[in-house]
Amino acid sequence: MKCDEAAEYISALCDGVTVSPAAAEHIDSCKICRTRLNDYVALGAELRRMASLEFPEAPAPQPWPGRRGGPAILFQKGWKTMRIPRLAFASLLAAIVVLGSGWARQSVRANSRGSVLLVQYTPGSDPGNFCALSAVDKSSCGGIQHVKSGVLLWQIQVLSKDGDRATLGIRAQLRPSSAGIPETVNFSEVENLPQQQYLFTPGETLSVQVDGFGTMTLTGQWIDHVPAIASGSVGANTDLDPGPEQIRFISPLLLQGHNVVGDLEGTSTTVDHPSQAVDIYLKGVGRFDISLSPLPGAVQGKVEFNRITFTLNGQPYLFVTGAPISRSPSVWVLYNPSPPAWDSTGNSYLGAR
Amino acid sequence: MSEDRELWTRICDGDVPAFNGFYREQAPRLHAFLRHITGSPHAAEDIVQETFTEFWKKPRRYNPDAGSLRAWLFGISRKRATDWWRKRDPVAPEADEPICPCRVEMASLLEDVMARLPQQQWLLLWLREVEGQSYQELATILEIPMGTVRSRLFAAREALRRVWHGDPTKQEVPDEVR
Repeated sequence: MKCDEAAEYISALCDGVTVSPAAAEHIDSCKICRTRLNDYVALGAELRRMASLEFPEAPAPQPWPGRRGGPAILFQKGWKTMRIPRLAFASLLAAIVVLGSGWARQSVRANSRGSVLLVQYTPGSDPGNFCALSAVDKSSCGGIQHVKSGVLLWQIQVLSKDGDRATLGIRAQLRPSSAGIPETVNFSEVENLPQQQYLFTPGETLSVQVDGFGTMTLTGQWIDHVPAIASGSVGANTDLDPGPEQIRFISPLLLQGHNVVGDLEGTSTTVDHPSQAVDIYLKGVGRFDISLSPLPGAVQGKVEFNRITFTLNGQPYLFVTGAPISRSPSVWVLYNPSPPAWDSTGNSYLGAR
Repeated sequence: MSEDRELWTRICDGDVPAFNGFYREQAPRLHAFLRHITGSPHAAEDIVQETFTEFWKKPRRYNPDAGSLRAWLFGISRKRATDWWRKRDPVAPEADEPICPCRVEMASLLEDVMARLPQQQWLLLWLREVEGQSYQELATILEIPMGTVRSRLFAAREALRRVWHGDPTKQEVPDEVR
């Protein structure tokens, strides 16, 4: 075998391929071919050595985009477009707010099928209101409504949840005007009414017959949290409620202890996926990435309505924003006091990554 | 391959930590590879991001039966780099800055030598010697028959060797030995 013929086999040897006995014998005995083999091996090693100098450091995890856009929830869409005769329901709303105020503080971790039943109810033919009922707490809502034929007292309670269905306990009674409307109606009286149980399937309409009044209708859906505004008329401030995997930052203010160290008044950003992060650069302070997913080197921050509290190097920090931030009770805060030059334009900014 | 399939399945299921792990492992290597193809660290970074973002959004474009995940990734990024070259404005050359001081040394040695090789040979050597891609993976990435990989690798090694030793006959080394 000649050296030219053996040369390709030498290359193959470098790739872990076995060669023919004839080629192997020739390479073993031929000084030129041995030199070529050594050159190939040395050049490969040199190539790897030099390439090793080029590999940049492992990059930080990126905020990968969501794979699909969230479909508009028709229910929520309906809220925004409906008009409510507020005066007619003023007394009813007051009762709901009183009841609902106790639920607004409840925190329920997000999941695909939540334990909070968002009920939209329509006494008679009037447009409906809503209230959020926790199946965990078996919470209830109710009201007093002046209707044509008298005063309607009612209460809705979630007694249990079985799969997608809920067992509701409903109390309702009409105090006919023909009997004379009492000067005051005490809502506590509703507790003395007999409670009827109904199986309710979200997505379907439940009709409840009330003697002397007619029909109350209920629709609803399971959600994974008590909304920021837990009850009230349809459309009232529902836009303030962050989405399931959202982080919202509106006009953020950063305090270190009692000192304001950053103010991005008038700016806002929203991220919709746990892999994304709110990106804040504050001139003279550094850069903050805020995400629902753990970030290497990040600290955990506690979310309370429109505030995030966290600690860095023993110092307490507080982000305050103009609206509820997230449904999650906590977020991850990654702080970089000196971001790369290309990363900071010199001016403070609020964005998303 | 079974590991690739498992990883791919997790990514298809939206497992962000799994994808981030893959990204952290492969992105630097892909960046270095693309930087040599494009000659621009910025373009390389953009292509790396586009490649991973596209994979995250549409992971089912990868077929685990058709080869390794890494080979597929390098293959599609190479195509993106080719597209980048096509679309690049020839009047406005990239104003690249060195990534780090070591790049100065790098440029004077390896790049000088490698720059004298046809790109196909350079790609083969990089993917084989640096990335350790198998013949099968090289065939996938470069879209050439597997039988051609061995002969082309030999041609590339021989070309590099001659350039390295300053052999004036280096220009006579064929791009491909069939």
